[in-house]
Amino acid sequence: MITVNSVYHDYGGKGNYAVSDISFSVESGKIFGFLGPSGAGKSTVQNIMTGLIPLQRGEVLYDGRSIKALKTKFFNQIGVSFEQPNVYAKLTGYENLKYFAALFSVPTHNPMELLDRVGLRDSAHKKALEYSKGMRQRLTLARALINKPKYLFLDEPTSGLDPSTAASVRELIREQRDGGAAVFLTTHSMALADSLCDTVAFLDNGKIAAMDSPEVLKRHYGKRLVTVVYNEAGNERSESFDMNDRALAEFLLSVNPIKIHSQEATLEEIFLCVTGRELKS
Amino acid sequence: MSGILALGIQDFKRLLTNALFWVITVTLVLIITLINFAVPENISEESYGIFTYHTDYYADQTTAVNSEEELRQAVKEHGTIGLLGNDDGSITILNPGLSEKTVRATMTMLYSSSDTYVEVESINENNAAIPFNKRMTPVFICFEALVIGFILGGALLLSEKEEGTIRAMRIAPVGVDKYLISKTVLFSIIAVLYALLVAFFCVGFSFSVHRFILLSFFGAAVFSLIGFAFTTFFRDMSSWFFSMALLLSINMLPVVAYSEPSFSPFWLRVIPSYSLIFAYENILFGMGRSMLPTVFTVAGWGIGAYLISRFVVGRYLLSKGRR
Repeated sequence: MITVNSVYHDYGGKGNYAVSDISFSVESGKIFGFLGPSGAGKSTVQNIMTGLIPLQRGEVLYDGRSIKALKTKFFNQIGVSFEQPNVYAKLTGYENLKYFAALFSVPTHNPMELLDRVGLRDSAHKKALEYSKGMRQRLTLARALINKPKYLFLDEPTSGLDPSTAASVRELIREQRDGGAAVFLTTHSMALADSLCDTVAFLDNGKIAAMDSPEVLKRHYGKRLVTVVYNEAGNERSESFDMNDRALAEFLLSVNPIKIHSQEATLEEIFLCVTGRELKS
Repeated sequence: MSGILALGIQDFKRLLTNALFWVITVTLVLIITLINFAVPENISEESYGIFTYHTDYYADQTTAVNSEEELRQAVKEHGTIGLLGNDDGSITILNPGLSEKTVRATMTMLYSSSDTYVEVESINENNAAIPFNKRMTPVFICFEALVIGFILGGALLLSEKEEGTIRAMRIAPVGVDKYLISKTVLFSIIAVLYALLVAFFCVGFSFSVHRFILLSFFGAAVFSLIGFAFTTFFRDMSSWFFSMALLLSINMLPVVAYSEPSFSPFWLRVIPSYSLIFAYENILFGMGRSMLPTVFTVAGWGIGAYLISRFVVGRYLLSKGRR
């Protein structure tokens, strides 16, 4: 489990905190989504958690051990996929994975199998500089998975991917969760968070504005309305009712219903409700 | 160990795709060609006459001129020595900027025993005159082959920064020792191969190869390690390149001492290439300087460079944010 307790970070050292009082935990076998617009501090938190940025204040614990006390060997258990694909451009996709696989002292995936999983088998022997942005993104994801990480950090893993590839990447992430990894997902994509995350936290201006499972958040912030679309003299009309309103049942009996929708709030609407601002990239 | 090997092999693959690597390789071939075919074996055909005015000194190579002004002009034009007789009977030696030691040695030779036959003897172990072109070999080895790690190591490190792969290295279980050793060993091996090529093609095979390899390996390691520490502070090639060129220029200053051995102030001797260049002269031509100071110097620089590089690269390049 990853535990983050009261983490603060001030880049300039002048008391202007990029993130403040950040606390949450990511359990093994769960996906934790960190949602927020660009500049909210998502990457800062991820970088502190992975050790790319020094921990200034607060605690980051991996199974109870502070990140400050962890040795180099610990990084055998971490996998990180960065938002900006950062691969060796002059090496092939296969060489990139082979290179990193050799750095770990734990069993690793077969690079070619992993390339196959992210849809890069046919381009395995092409130099990474010939890859499109989406292909490099997938290569970065494959690299993050090469060491079968116990703690997986993914920063916008489906950004720039076509729907079909994005679906296969989502499936790959679910597999990691099902395999027992603690997955920390940073994104501004509602659809991705909604479809993958067990828990989501909304980050706004460096602070967590709300945190819970998507279902609970939807129930809590969503409208308990049902909209009935019905046919009246050849025209489609609609009417909304409170879910507990007895009039709903009577209405359904009195009209010719075509469709019935529950009016759940989307995560985007909840974010807007909680923070007063829209969640844009 | 396998991690070090893997890093080294992949770095070598990246090196093969680096234009700078091929530029240096082609330069090496050019240097070998220049030494063997362009630079003359000796420059003794050039005149080295001594000009005199108002003295009774005479020898085969002396030419008396008619005025002090003419004497000064001749010294300037021919880059040689002029003897100016003063009214009080003393002599002033005019020279085009030779070192004090050289001038005094010339003066002593001229006036101590003028009747003595003077012979020139080469004092190297082979007791043979070193051709002028071959004599430049240590210079080219020092400033072409040995600094390969400084230049190419820096270029690879900067490309890791520019591509962002250094961030992936930071969150990989790669310690600073593994990172430094893999790159240093790779560049030292390449430097040894390049240095051997220059030596074999320019001087031949009559020298101690194992001493040559040891010197080249550890000498190149010193430059590589200094290069890694130095490059860590730069973000991109353009800002690094000129600073790198400046530092390499300073490193080349010992060439002055090599061509004018009497000039060897302390600050020049502490530059790492100073010891190396004379050590190569010793190994390749059997010149009489002891290798022991070089061993201590290279060992000192090696340990110092490793510690500095370990600190700088560990703290500023591969820091895992746990401090």
